[in-house]
Amino acid sequence: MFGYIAPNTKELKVKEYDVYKAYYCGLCKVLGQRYSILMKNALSNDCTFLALLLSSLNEGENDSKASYCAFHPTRKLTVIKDDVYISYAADINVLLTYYKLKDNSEDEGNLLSKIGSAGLKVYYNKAKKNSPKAAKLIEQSLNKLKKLEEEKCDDIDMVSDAFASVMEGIAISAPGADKFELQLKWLFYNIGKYIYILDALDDIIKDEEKNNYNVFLLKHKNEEAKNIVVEIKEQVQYNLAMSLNEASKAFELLPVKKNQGILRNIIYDGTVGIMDTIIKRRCIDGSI
Amino acid sequence: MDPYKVLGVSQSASDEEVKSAYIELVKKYHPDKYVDNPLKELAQEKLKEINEAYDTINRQRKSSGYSGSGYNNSYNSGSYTYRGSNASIYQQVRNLLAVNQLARAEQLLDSVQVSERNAEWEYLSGILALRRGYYDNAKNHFQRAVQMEPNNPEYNQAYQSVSGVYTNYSGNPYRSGNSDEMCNWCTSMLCLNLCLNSLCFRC
Repeated sequence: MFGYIAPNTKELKVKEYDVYKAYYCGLCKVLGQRYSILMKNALSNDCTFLALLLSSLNEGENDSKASYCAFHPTRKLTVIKDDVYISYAADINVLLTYYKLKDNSEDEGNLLSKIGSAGLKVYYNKAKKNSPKAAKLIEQSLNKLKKLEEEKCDDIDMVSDAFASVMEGIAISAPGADKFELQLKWLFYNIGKYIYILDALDDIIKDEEKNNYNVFLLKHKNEEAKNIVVEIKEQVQYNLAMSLNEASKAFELLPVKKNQGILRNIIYDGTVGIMDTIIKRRCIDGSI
Repeated sequence: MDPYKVLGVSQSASDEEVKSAYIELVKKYHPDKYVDNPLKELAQEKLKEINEAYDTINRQRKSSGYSGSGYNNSYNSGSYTYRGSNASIYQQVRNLLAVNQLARAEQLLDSVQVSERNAEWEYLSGILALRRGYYDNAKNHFQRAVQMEPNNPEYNQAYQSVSGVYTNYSGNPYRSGNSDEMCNWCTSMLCLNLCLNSLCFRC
C-alpha cells in the first residue's frame, strides 16, 4: 500500500529475516486464497507489520508450513499458517487497497484505477463482511479526511489526524486488541501520522503536476514544489520523528511475546531509514 | 510474577547485572518520558512492577540490612508559580490535563480572552496539542511561550525536548544501522517484493 513500515533487512538476523518473510508470504498466500490471485499485487509491508505485531502479542511459536507459490514455482516457501491475525491483516489490505484505488480514480479520473476499483468491489464487500467494525471505522475517518481535502485544509495536524484515525480504527478492531487497546491505539495513531506526512512529502511533485490535493502545496501557495521541499524539510523531520517517538513509547508498553528483534528493527530502524531516504530524495537531491 | 523475568535477567545474573538492567528499565519507563503521553498511567504501572521486582531480588539476595534503593516514584510535575487573573484557570487546566480530560481543558483555554493569553497559556495549549497528536501546533505554542518568557525553565524544557526529537530518535540506541547506505531498504525489499507493479500505487 504505502510500504513505509518495513524492516531494515540488512540489520536483521538471518533467522529474523526468515520469520519476516514467512509472515509476508503468509499474508500473500491468504490474499490469494481468500480473495483472488490478483489481490496478491496489493500485498503490503504495512499489513505484514500488522499481522506480525498482532500475533506477537500472543504466546506460542510462529506457526509455519511449507507451501508452493505461483511466483516462485521451483521451490517451496515457508509461510505462516492462516490464523485470525493474518486473516485480519488480509481484510485490511483489501479494504485499504480498494479505498486507495477509489480515491485515485475520483482524484485523477485515472482509467486504470477506475477499472481497478470497480473490479475490486466484490473483494471489498467480502472484506467488509469479514471485518465490519474495521470497515466502518476506516470509512468514517476517510470521509472526514475527504471533507478536509475538499475544504482545502492546509493544517498538517488536522489532515494527518484524520488519516491517523484510520489506523487507530484498524488497531482497535483487530482480534485480541481489547486487552491492549490503549497502547495499540496510540501506536497505530502515530504510525498513521507518520505514513500520511511521509506520503504527502513523497507525492508533492506528482501532486503539483496533476493539481491534486497536497497539504504542503496549499500551505505554501504560489510557491513551487521544488522550493517548498527545501523549506519544509525540518518541519517534516520534526513531525515524523515525534510520531515515531510516540509510537515507540506505545510499543514499549505492549507485552510482546515473540519476534521482538524484528518489531524493534521496524520501529526503531526500518522506519527511520525509509524516512531519511525519502527526505533525502525529495528535500536534498530534489529528484522525482 | 518472577522478578527476574520482569527485569529481563537470568537468576544467575550478578548484582551488577541486575542493577544495570534495572537502571536501563527505569530510564525507559521514566515518568519524564511519558509526562505528556496518554499512556502515562501504564508507564507508571510498569515502573512500579520494575521497582517491586528490583526490591524483591535485593531482599532475596541480602536477607539483612537492605535499605531499598529502588527508584523513588514520588515524581510530580514540578512546582509552579502562578500570576495574573487567570491563574486559577491555568491550575484547572493542569489538573484536567493530568487526568486526560482534553476537551474540557480546551474549553477552559478557549475561554481566556485573546488579549490575556500569556506564556503559560501558550505552554498549556502546547501540552494539550501534544496529547492530541497535534505535534506541529504543539511546537509553535512552546516556541511562543519561550519567546514570551525566555527564562522559564518549564517552557524551555518543553520546547527543547520537542525540538531535539529528530536527532534523538534517529540516534536511538535501538537503531543499529547507519543511514549512509540510503537505499538499503528499498533494494533489499526488491528481493522480497512479489509486486508485479501493475497496481503499484506508489509508482
